[in-house]
Amino acid sequence: MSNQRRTQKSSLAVDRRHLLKAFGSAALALPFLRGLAGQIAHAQVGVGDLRFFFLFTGNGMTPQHWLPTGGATNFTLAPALAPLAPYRDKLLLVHGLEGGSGHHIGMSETTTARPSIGEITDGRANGGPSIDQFLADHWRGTTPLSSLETGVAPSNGSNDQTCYSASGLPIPAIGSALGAFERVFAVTNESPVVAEARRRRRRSVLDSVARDITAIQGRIGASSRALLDEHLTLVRAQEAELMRPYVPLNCALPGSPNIDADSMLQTWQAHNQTIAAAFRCGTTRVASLRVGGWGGAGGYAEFGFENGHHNVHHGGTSDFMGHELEIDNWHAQRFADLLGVLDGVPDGDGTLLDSTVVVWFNELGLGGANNHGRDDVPVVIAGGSRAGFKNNQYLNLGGVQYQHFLYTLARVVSGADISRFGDAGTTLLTSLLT
Amino acid sequence: MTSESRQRRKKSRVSRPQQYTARKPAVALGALALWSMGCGLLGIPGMGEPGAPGGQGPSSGAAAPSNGGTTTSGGAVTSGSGAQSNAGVVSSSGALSATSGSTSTSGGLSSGGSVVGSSSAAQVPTISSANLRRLSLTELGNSLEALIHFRPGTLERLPAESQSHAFDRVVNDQTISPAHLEAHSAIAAEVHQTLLAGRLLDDVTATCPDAILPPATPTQAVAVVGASMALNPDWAVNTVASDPSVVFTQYAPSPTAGYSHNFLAPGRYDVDLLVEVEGSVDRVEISVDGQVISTQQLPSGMGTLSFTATITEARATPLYFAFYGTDDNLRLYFHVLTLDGPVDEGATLHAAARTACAHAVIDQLGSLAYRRPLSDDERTSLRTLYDTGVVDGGFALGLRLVLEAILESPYFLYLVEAGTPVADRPGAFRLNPHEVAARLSYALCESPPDLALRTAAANGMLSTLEQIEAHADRLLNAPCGRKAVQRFFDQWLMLEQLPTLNKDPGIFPEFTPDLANAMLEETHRFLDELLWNESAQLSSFFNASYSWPNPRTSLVYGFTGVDTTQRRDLPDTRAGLLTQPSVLTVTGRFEGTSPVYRGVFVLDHILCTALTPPPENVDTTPPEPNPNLTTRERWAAHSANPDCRSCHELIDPVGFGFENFDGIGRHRTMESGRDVDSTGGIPTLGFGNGSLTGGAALARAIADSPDLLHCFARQWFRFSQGRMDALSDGTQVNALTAALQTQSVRQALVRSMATDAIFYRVE
Repeated sequence: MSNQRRTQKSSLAVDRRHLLKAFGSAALALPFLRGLAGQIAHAQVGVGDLRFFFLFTGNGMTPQHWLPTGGATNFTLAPALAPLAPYRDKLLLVHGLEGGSGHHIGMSETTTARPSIGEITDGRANGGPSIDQFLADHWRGTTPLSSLETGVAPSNGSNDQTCYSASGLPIPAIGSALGAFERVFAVTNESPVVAEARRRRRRSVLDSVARDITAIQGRIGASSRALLDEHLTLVRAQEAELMRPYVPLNCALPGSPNIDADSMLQTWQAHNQTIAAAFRCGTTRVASLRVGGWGGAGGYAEFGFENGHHNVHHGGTSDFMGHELEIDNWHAQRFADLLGVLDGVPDGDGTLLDSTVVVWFNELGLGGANNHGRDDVPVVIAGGSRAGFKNNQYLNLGGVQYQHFLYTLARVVSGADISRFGDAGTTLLTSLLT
Repeated sequence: MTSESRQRRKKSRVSRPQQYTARKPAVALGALALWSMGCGLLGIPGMGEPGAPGGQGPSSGAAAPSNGGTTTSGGAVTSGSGAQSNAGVVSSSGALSATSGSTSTSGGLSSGGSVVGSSSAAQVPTISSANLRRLSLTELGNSLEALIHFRPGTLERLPAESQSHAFDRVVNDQTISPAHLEAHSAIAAEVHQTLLAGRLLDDVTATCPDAILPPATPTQAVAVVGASMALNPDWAVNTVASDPSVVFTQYAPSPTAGYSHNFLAPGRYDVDLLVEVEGSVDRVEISVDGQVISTQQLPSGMGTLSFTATITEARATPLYFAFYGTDDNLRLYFHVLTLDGPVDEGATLHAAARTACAHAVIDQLGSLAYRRPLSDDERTSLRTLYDTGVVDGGFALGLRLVLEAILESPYFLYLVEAGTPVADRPGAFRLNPHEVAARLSYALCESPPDLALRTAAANGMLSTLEQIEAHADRLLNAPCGRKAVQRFFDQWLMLEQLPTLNKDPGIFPEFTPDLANAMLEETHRFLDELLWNESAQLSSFFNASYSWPNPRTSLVYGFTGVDTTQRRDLPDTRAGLLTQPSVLTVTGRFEGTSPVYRGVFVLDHILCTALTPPPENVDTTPPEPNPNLTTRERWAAHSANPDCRSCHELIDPVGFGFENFDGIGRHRTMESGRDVDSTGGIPTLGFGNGSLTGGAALARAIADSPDLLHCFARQWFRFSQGRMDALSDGTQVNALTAALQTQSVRQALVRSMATDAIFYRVE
């Protein structure tokens, strides 16, 4: 091989864009090619089948910005939630839930009902699964992808996590719009014949990987191999997927996000589109979006305000209340964007929003500013009338244990006859249900 | 609160870094970040002290100081007596007491030349058990580059690593998820595609020359319906009503048909045109790119015109069919044109060579990926996989399955250390030479063993501490080692944040991305000079009276007319890393400075002082900005609450001392029109509040502190070993601490690898 050619080779393919350009159409998984026969999916999600989505934003909510005024059904939205007005009839606003420790230590209880053990696990869950993964496991096999975890500027500290596998390992959120889209919709444009042959043969690869894992498991102690054990579980899940019949997907997809459109706004909007399309096409039934971590996201340059959400809530800046409302409002607007997309998709005699239980979590209570506790936790629930959740309601639960709320979600959305969720979620909160 | 109970409280709030307790470490990391945030700050990633006893502290019996010079009682923490005269090296057992000038110790640390050939229990050092660690994103990228000589773009699909413990490869923070597995699979697919299409397989093994490979562009089968072809004359063209994809000509005795296909690659293509003739045609001339390549007869009825088109360039190329005849009633139905190619010329011809190639890939790439020779079973299994793929999809699919199996194997993705049991020491395992090589190489270079290390491992030349030290010395001074050390400092000092850091543009209009990068560049230059040119000791990194300001950072220092980067003496207000613009900027805040944030950074990252987060349900709202007060004045009153004060009287003096620098590292004497008061101290080192003035004085005190050496050793352990240090890792940590006392950082890092610990794991 000549030196000249070697030089050319070594300059090759350093970054992704370059690669895409160089091998634009081959077997790389690429931004979606519309109508391609290689796209495969299950077709087992039917009309009215439930989906689940949660949004997580950190730093809690300011009571005067969040709490509605008025009665249970004739309430008026407070300023932070004003952007949700168009979907007011499909909202269930709940507060008065009583949690344990708040903020970074409260992260895990928020979604797993397994509070972190003080400073020992420091906000990382003391086990799993989180509510979304419980449902993903419950519905596993009905969709090509069991769940999709997205984030807008997601922080990746071990106490920033909201999604946990059943084994208690955190599932990271994908912060890139294109990355999330590719997880759901990327296809290879190899011919269907080749794709099918490869899929058939993929099983032998997974067998080989599983064999290697098992060999290592036999040589190191059980306490040293938490990652490896989970890895094997995931390989087995992939194998199970291969056993199921696939059919061509017949579903109009959104355009692929632009890799350069990576502002918080663009990322969130693209995630919304991806999630809505994944729900519509039955590609997955479970998704989540996490903004930053327990300290929120670091900067809001979109509206010329680059200080972080956390600092704003702490008032570490002038006019912090104004900025805080501005950011909370902006979150609500993005949340409303997703509700809008879902509500625009017909599903049987209703819309996809009626079939989707949408929850907006945060890790703090309303009980006094900056106190880091989870007294009086507020939650926004939207849609989900087909699951039996009340719509057009504002309820103060007056101190009911928070974990019962996650139990209620798990039981109602899955329809499974479970007796407990997390450490102590055992009581069905019937006041939330029609 | 009585003074006695307050004293106890202090004990519970802070612990000396030297003390390892037997108690399971408390993981206080993010909690501490919260705490600093709770006080109005953004979190410091990686804060906290899991290896330290956290809330237990000095009151634990196991932590009692055991050698003469160490004073670690809670009282010393606030006494301001400066009682820290010892070497700062204490293990819980007291068995190890490193003395300066010697690396020989009473613990499991062997002296330099001992041969550790046999696995006798007596030689197993005290180390803690390690979880199986996944290669970090960085390590995986480096490993792929070593294998295939390029960096797959699909690495970007992997989730970012958690950095709760400052460094991005600490096993305690790692996870594995479906997104990871999907990314691994996408990486394998990309590697396959790039190796084949880019003709790079011969870089992996010489047994795979380009000449035997299938076409770079995978064979495509394309079908073009008749309706998509261009027929002439226009007036003769009709569409079949029942099947609009079929068109026909009538009443034209000599029609033509053309189709321009975009060929993606040169090569031979098999072309078939399915035509139905009603009437008679004399002959058909077939042209490719304007050249007649074939003249064929076409009887009436359904027939196929078949030919091979040799395409020399990847571009749109016309295929043209001219029908000649005299039958005025001729009808010609055009059904479908199929193109298949480029033809894999070598499928049969190179079958044997391709099998040899695949076997070579398995042996060479497989053993590189697994960082050891393959077992016979593994080789057989991978060969079978190749054969399976060939049956379904030829060489390309066979190779694809092999690459997926190797690159998705845990032997590649994890740093697998199994070893063999040590007699008489249950739970102890001696690593084989390949495992030792990998451990050493990833520790120092974040990359797999190079040829020299692999050769040494294969030849049994990696079994003495001298051999280990020689390789460690070589690796640390190689580009990969230098890069890894720089990454260690970047993560330890949080400098990775600089390029994306935001500052309030109204307050710091000077802070541009260019300036941020220049700050990083200055610190990198400083580190390079001290590490590799000056072979400086650790203290110099923290008290150097000089740096290498570049034209941009010169403005921060207030130097004018600087247009080249060179070593300059700095004013005595500066001393070492902690007063460089880079560090002062990342520890500054959006709108100014925060004494708490800088204080916690120094205590936690630099001195490894374990602090616990603020109690719950306290109002941690930071003070409002006030244009008429200095930052210090605004903060002075914030710890009136005794719960806060117990810690803040340890933290705040450190931050106050750095108040003579603003949020982007400019020296200042005035703030908000008032004099800056930068008197402070480091109570945990015995310098009470008020005993030191200005950041440089604090930095010099830190530079002289044994706590700095010990903390540096712990942080390096975490970075290089990819796990949090535990009690029983004291031997290794203390060996490095001892080396740092008398040797350059560069020598000490090399030396620290050459302990018996590198040969073992325990469970």
